[in-house]
Amino acid sequence: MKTVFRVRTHRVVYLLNRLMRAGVSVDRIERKGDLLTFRTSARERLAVERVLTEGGFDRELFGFLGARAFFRGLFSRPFLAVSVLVTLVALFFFNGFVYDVSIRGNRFVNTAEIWAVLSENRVDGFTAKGALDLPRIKREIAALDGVSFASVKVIGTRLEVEVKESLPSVTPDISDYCPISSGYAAVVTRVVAESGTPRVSSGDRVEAGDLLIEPIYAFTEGDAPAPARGEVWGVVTHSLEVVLPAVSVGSVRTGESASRRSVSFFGKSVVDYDPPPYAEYVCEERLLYHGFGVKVTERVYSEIASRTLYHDFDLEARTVLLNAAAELLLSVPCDATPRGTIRVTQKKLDNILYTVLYYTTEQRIDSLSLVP
Amino acid sequence: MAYSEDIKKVFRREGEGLGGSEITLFDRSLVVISGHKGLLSLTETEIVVRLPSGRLGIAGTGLFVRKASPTEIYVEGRISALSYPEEGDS
Repeated sequence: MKTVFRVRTHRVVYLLNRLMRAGVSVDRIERKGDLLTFRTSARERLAVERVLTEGGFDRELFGFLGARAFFRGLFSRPFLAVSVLVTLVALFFFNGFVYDVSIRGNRFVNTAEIWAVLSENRVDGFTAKGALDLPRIKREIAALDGVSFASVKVIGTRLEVEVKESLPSVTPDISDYCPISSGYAAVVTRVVAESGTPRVSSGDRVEAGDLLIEPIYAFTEGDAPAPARGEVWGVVTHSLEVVLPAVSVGSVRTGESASRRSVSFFGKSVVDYDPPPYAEYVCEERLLYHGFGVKVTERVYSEIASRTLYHDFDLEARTVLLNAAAELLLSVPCDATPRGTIRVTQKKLDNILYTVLYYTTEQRIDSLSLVP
Repeated sequence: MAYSEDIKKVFRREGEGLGGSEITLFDRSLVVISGHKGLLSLTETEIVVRLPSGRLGIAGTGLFVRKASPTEIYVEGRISALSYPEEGDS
């Protein structure tokens, strides 16, 4: 503990001699003009002050070093003391709260889930430490799905939550253990079983849904599950039947139509659609303008009505046939190999025109081929 | 001083004192005077210290007392000469 004195004097030799005679030791002596600065131990401070007082020296005690001197200097300035006191009280007050939360260690567990647990336990960014039930928070976080261990602790004013996640469980892909069945009624031509046990062979006739490859492998000790993989090819005859009566009832457009418009501004509707003008109608919607937050759309309502339709078989037979052929070809897989052309049977019976088409292909018939 | 006993041996003064004061000079920039009796004058070019056996004059430039205690005085500066002026000398 040291005390620093600053003395205004031109009698430096006299002063130092007085001090030394009084048994005082001074150091860090500096002189600037008639200003002499020196330092002495707190133990000798009173002796120095006595010498300076007796000698009539103009002095200034401007520095305190050491704890006691610090507090003495502090309480000699009320404003400073009050400021320090307020700061200490504020520090003590804020130290009693948690206002920072750190969540670490979660990759798959959603942070929002952990926050939900914290919120339920009244951790909302500014929480009194005394109000925290750390064991309960830890228990509830550890109970979340995918969390195997949780650590919750308060470090200073921060609540640190660290989680260890469960290792992702290895579950077999169920689709691997599904049997491969037939998607068509066909005659099997080829069986390529990569895994599993084939239950059909070339020449077998199968119906749609029949088992082709079973997901098991036959060991000496018994059967064991094994993924069913492979391809089964077969000859499939696709057929389509179209019936056209001479008289039918259908909906046709009357030729009447009306349009309605809607305007929205930044997603908020400004002008809404009026109600449809017809009881039965077909509606088509189109975008007229979209830009600068404005969107204008239009609905065109076309009136429809039921009508009795009379068909002339001689005129329509070819159209019906072409439409049916197109529909049939659309149902055939692209990789199917044709075996001949489309065979057609068309006949009139009791004012009904029957059209039946057959198309034979060789193609994959297993259910895997039907998966997009 | 630690080596005072050696000095006594060299000068064959075992059992006696070496004198009232001791002056230690470090590389012409620092002087420590032990056993002084006070300062007589203090300027940047000359410091005069009173000793039991008389006066010690320290001449130089930028001289100043860094520490003063009842037994020792520490002087710093560029020292050019140490002298023992007589009472009548200025």
